[in-house]
Amino acid sequence: MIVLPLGIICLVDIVGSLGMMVFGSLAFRKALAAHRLDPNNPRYSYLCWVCGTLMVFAFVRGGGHILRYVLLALHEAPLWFAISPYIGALNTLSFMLIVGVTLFMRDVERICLRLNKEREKLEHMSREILELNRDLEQIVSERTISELALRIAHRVRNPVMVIGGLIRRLAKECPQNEKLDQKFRLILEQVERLEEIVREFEGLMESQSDLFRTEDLNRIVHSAVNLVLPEAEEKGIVIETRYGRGPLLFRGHGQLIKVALVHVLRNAIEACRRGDRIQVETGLEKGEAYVIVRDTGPGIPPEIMDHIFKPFYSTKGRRTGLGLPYVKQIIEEHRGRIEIHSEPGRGTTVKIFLPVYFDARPE
Amino acid sequence: MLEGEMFVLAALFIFLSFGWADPAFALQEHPPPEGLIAHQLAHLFFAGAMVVFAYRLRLSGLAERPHWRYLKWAAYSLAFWNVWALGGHIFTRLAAREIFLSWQEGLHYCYRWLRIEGPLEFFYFVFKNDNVFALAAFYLLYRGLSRLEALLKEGGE
Repeated sequence: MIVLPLGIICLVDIVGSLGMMVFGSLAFRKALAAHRLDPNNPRYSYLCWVCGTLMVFAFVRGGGHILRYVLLALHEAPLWFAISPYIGALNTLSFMLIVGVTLFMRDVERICLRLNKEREKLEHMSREILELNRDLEQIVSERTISELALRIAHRVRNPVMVIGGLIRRLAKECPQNEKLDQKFRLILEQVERLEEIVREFEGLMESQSDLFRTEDLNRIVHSAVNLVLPEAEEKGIVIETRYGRGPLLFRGHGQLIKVALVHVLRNAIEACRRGDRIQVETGLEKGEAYVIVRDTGPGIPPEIMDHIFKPFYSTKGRRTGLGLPYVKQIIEEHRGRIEIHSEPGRGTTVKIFLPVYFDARPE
Repeated sequence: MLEGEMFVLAALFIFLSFGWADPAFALQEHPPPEGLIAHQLAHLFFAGAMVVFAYRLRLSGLAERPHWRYLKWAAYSLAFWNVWALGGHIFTRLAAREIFLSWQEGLHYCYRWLRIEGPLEFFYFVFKNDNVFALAAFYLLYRGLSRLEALLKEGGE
């Protein structure tokens, strides 16, 4: 027969109960600190709840056990037997509380995953918008510089040509004089420098085509649709896409075409109502890559259709009315064309055609 | 109109019901073993919830990070403790009064000795030390959260 002291069980129970209460409250404090450091993270808020209920359990159970030892040591057994059912019941309740809170984890994880996905989407979109803005600023500044240079060149060119011509004639007509010839040569040198500057200014406009690269229309349309998709979803409008086979290569400025497409798509979204559909189709036809934006919105009244590509003509009041003329300018700079067909009450179709480029892969 | 008639009929039914002499059994009694059974079932639910919690931590990939791994093992330890404690309750119920030896009447449990005559008494002794696992679980919980807090203070998980 073996005999073992029950004091071991009591010692383990007392140490364990005290330890549970200490580590339980410390863990809860740490969870609270984590929540305070990142209050927007639902995981940490959830951990506070889990640790909070575990701490309650530790205190109800551990505290109950310690109280039992104390009361029995003080010969207060009747008191212990009177309160023990309540402590036991609270202990059981704390178990169920933990079960409820812990099983909520699934929902918290789902919320976290969704939040992360939305955040990634937003980050991606804001990156795209920033890139678009940067490119637009660059394009606008380049255009302003080019136009200014071209204007100066136009104004300066004729007087410089006249001065140059007159100086050459004067040099021929004047009697031979070494000193005078040297001065004429110096004046002619300066005039030729001026003519060179004028030519450089005129060349600035041509250098814009340096920004053109081989682009894939499908990729640009896909990116433009992704950019406006949240706006459409918010309005309850469905965007359907049908991409043509293979890369639709053309030579141009990808961001500019994207700006034009986003503008066309935003016009369609603004015109449509909840439940309307916007179809975006790309393809290849007679040596041209095309993108068609077809909506089931209210259409454009005939009196507006006649002015749709006129600058500063706007039906939106607050806007400058440079939208569609700008889109047209972009398309025409790419040697493409834009067509708009609309019937009131039956929707609008915008067709953009761009000459294809067969020689290279997208850069 | 129909609603009014229904109300009168329902009121009549309730009024007449009071006149019945038989007990209605509306309130059920909760004699002693029920509390213990409820407690033991709660242990099982607690264990199940902890296993689900640890499993979800693993599934979500969070358990790959050291601090969440601590929480995963804390959950497994608590699940294990629940099963252990459930065993403790069962063996306590099965244990006879005679196995607790005492040289004096009314001596505190902690000062007594346990007479081990077979596996039942041995299991009683082993399963009663369930706090070993509970303490380990709470320590792991604290360690995990402590590391989490430290990482957040450094700038993020």
